[in-house]
Amino acid sequence: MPDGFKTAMRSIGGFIGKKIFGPHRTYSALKDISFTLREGEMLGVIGKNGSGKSTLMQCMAGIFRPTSGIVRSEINPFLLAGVGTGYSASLTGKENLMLYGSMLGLTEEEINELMPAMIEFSELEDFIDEPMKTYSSGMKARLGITGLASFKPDVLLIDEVLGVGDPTFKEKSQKLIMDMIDNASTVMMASQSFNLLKDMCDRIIMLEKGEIIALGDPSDVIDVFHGRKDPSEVSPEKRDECE
Amino acid sequence: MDKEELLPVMNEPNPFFKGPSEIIKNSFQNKKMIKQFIKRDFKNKYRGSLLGYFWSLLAPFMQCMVYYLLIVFWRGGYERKPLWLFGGILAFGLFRDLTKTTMDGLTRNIGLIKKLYFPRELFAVSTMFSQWIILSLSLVILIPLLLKYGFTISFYTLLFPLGLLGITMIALGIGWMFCCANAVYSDIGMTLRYVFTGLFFGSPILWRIEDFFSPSKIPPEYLTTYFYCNPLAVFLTMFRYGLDGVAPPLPLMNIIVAFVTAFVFLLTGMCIFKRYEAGVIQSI
Repeated sequence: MPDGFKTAMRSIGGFIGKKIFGPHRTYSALKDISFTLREGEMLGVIGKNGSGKSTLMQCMAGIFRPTSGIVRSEINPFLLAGVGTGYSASLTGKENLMLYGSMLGLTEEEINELMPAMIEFSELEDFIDEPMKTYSSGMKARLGITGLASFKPDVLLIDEVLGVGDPTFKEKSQKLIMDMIDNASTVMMASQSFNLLKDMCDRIIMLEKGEIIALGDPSDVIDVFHGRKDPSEVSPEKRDECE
Repeated sequence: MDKEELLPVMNEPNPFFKGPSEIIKNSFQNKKMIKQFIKRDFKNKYRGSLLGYFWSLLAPFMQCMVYYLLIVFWRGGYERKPLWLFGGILAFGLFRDLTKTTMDGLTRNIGLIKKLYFPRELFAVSTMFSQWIILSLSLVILIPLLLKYGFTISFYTLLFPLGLLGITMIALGIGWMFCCANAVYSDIGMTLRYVFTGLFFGSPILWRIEDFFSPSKIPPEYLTTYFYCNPLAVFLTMFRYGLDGVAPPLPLMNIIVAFVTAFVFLLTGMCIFKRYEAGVIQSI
């Protein structure tokens, strides 16, 4: 058998073997996470990009199943991770609101009853019957947040969504989210707005590379994030207190 | 015991054999959402086209005409051939489209799945209803042929919806069986294209059973074995003879085995899907 042919077969065999048998690169988004989100609490989550905040919330909302460990809850938390989730560009604004309302558990009658108020809130009266692909990004954001106007979950997880749309609409959308927070009994919120978290949260978790670095008083944890305090100074016995 | 340990576990892996009951329970509990998904699929299908829903008639008609010109003008026709050809193509289209959309359910809707939790089997259930509605619209093209060649409404007309039921069961079963694997390895979807091609030419769509299973070609005693190996052929034959309202050349045992096979495919697909769907989401 010619040497060139043998070399080629060895290369092909090696390539296929590596593809099937590895080693494959794996990455742990979360490690050794253990805490309790208490009823009635507002828990903040901070961390750099890629620290695992979104993955944590997706596990808690039931979207991801952890590869090890369990999530326990009586109620399915609702994850607010973006606006316009599930909206279809080919459908009109009104049709998208109908679709999203049904995904949130509302009946057709309930959605029809709420529709005039939702259209007024969105300020898209002239465009509500046009396909969403004709909307600007600001208009899409308005429609996206409008879909949530009627929804009042008990347990709310917010992943860096505080206000959307152009400056005139942003205040309105922020108020809507604040109303959702007020109506929810329990909230967990990831945000880069530390002042807001300090004012609103009972506790804050800080994540780094998928692990809990600090959990406790909002000011203390924010100081840990900025390097002004050591994680061990945020009292370890405050972690995951059980009632 | 801590208070927390009394709370139910969320998103627990389903015991393998609980898959079918979970899917049926979730489908009934989320009827509103299924209805909205059906509307969405329908509106998205023809939005932006001039002819709109008329494509449900035009698309199968044009496909059938291509095969009709090829087969009938090349090989010559026989009585009722256009009717049989059109019926077979429509029924196979249901099988192909339902299998493909069930298998792609997770990947096509990944943006939604990663933001909002709801039972993912609802995509396949809504697709099943959408495909039935599209097929019903497409069957309109058979009406002129049925009037031309005549048809009998008899006990055997029941074979028509039973054939469709069998096709639906086997399509959903195969789709769900490979849905999770296809989400991780798209090779499966690519391979399926060639499997469909093989099934299309290997099933009695462009040809009749008697064209091949005759004493001069393949001995008719092999027909039973052929039907055991290809339950889709059984359902296609039932569909066609049901349109005619006459008895099919199918032993009863073949029909029973085909339905049992389809049922096993469906149950197995449901079990595999529910067991693994939550685990593959992070891989997509």
